[in-house]
Amino acid sequence: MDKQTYLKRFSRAARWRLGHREAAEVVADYTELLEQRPPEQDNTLVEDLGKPQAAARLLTEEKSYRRWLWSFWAMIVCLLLPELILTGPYLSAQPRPIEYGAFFLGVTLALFWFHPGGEKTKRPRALLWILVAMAVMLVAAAVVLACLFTGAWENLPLERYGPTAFYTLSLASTVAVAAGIFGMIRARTDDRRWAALYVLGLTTALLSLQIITALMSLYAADFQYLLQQEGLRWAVVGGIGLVGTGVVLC
Amino acid sequence: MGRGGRHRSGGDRGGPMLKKDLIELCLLQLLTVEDQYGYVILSQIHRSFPGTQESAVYALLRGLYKAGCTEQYEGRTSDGPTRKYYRITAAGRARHGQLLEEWRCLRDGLTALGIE
Repeated sequence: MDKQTYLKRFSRAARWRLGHREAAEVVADYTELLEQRPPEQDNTLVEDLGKPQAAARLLTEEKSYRRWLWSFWAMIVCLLLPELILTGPYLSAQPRPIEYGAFFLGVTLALFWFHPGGEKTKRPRALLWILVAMAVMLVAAAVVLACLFTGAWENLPLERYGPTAFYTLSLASTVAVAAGIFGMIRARTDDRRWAALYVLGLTTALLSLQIITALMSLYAADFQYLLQQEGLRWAVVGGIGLVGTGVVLC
Repeated sequence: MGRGGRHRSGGDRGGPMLKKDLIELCLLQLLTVEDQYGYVILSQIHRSFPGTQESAVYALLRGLYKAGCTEQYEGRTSDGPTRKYYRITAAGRARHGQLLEEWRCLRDGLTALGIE
């Protein structure tokens, strides 16, 4: 293993275990140490220093790392909950408080761990592209739903309306959840602003579940009435999600 | 600068002196002689304890820094480049004295048993 590879792996492991500030200090120290090693000692790098992951483990403060792991798994559960309800046998026609609880807990934890502050760096280009792709996907899902509700697709048989809406929203939710998990891991190991994907994913997953829940209710056939009943709730969830995404992106 | 905080080891808790305490003693001993930068410290300790990986020694050095036993500053080496130097603090000197005392007790105990 050469110095660059070692440093890259060590840096990733250190960020995951120690957080950004502490990791930045130890990575700077390791960079200095590795710079001074003679090149002929490259083949004994792992032997002398230990594996990068093990080196990071030695520096870990168990208490703060455990706190991070608890938060991480809590955020993952919050993200997966709407998806599990959506794809499992627990889907009901009534929204449940636990869905909102998971949403607020997830957003709060994401803002707590990845709030703006510290050194300003350039936003990762890949993150912006993924956010654009997610926005396109959400707009496409909204267009499909709008076409269904307004009856724009005259050739589509009536019995296909429900499954089309369900699969459109399920697909949007699954993609958003996958992007959210990816964003959460990258936020810890790379740039904190990747957490924007998590907040957006969480919002998308909850809104998808909420819309499907509403469509299963008795008054789903009346689009105007449905919007009157649920519109404000969706707008609040969407608004909080977008504001949270924007805050994390700052 | 050091950040203060509590530094724990076997010696602190009144337990047996461990290898990590011995390495800490050596790290502090090196710094009582003169300020050093990371690579030199690690190389010297690695030579004295070849079975111990440098990452483990670095973790102990970092622990001493976080406990306020050492502080850091940017300094120039004789051949030019800027390095992060470590300097022992008053807390570090106290810790050094404590570890040295433990080491002497251990050494005397071993000598009394005929182990030299």
